[in-house]
Amino acid sequence: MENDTVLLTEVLGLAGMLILENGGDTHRAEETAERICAAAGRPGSDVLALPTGIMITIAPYCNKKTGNRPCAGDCMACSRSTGDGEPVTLIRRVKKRTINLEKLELANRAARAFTDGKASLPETLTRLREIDTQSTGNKYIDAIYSGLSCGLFSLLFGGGWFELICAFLCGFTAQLVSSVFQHSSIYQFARNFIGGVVIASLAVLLTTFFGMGNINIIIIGSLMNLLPGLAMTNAIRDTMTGDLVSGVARFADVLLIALSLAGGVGVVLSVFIGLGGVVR
Amino acid sequence: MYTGQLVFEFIVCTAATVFFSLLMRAPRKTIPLTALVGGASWVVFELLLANNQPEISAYFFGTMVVAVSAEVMARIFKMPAPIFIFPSLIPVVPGTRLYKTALALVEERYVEFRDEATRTLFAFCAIAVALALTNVAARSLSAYLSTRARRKLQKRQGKS
Repeated sequence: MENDTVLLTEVLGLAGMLILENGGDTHRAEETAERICAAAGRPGSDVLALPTGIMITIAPYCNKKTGNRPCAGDCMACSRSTGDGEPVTLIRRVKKRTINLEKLELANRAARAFTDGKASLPETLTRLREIDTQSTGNKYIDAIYSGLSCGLFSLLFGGGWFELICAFLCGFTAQLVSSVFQHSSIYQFARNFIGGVVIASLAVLLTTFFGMGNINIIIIGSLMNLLPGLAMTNAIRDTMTGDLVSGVARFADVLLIALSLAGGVGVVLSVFIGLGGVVR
Repeated sequence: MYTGQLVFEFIVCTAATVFFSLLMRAPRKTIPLTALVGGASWVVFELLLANNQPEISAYFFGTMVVAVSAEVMARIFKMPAPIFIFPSLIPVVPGTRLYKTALALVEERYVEFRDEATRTLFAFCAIAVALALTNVAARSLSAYLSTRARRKLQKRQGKS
């Protein structure tokens, strides 16, 4: 068992950050960090994960055994923090929040390999760094995926072939635009607002130019991948499981995104109606 | 609702979920299964709505399909359950509801906003309850099974 606090802080910080950044819930991040701590022989450690950051206090190394079992954080030295060393606290900020299930899975796998004793701390650290620097793929291919799923969803919401093609174009363009803004430090509000504007204006242009198609179906279908449905589900789930702070934070996030999208679409539609257009 | 229509929607929904999983970068080997589950949950949702069931139960059971199969697949593939839940839940999650609610607020249609907001909230609550229930059930079931296996092992060791 390694007794290296610096290495452990790096592993914990990176693992927690990877999980929170790529769509894992706070409960999973906390559980993973606690397991890593326990496997490293520091069972009294405490973790608090929020959607915007993770805080970990690593307890001193504890080698005591009660009977046959290793200490589970309840021995005198652990619970009072009077062990051999001093406790170390670590805070990591989480600045971007996307959904990347592959990275989430790999980070989870690396953490699990360490807790099962199949990998050492330095090995885990290099593995996590590899995952962190992994490329995120081609944005044009992403845009095509986004367009195709948007088109198919508009078909599902009652559209025909014309709506499918329009929603494909809208979803494609919206994904491209939002991937352009992804790396600049623009506020999330502005990014979603612009997404809404792009989708609505394209839908308005296409329907008026060809004189056919249902504009509502096109807009709803193309908004599918910008809408924070999963975030809303996570918000309620977090609140129900007692992670009150992260639940409320996610609620605020969802409200902001939904309102900015609707604001973008609403502005374009009201201008369109003001110019004499009819929303069918 | 005709069977042909349902089959068509199942196929469309499955294809849409495939592209959504690709966008979320789901691990390649999980995509076919999650997509089929996504299509199945949509069919369950539509069937319940077509048979005049309340909307909340449609959301609840649609999510149940996703959650139960996700927990099973998580045990089979040894991956965390959200990897299966996120892509296949997309069709059932009422993102459009959320958008309609916000649009009503932005366009100052307050009566519609009130109705839509209430419905949206209850829909999301139904989904979250289904997910949480399944998670709790799966955890306690696997804990029970593992303790039983350990006890059996101890018994066998005691005999020999």
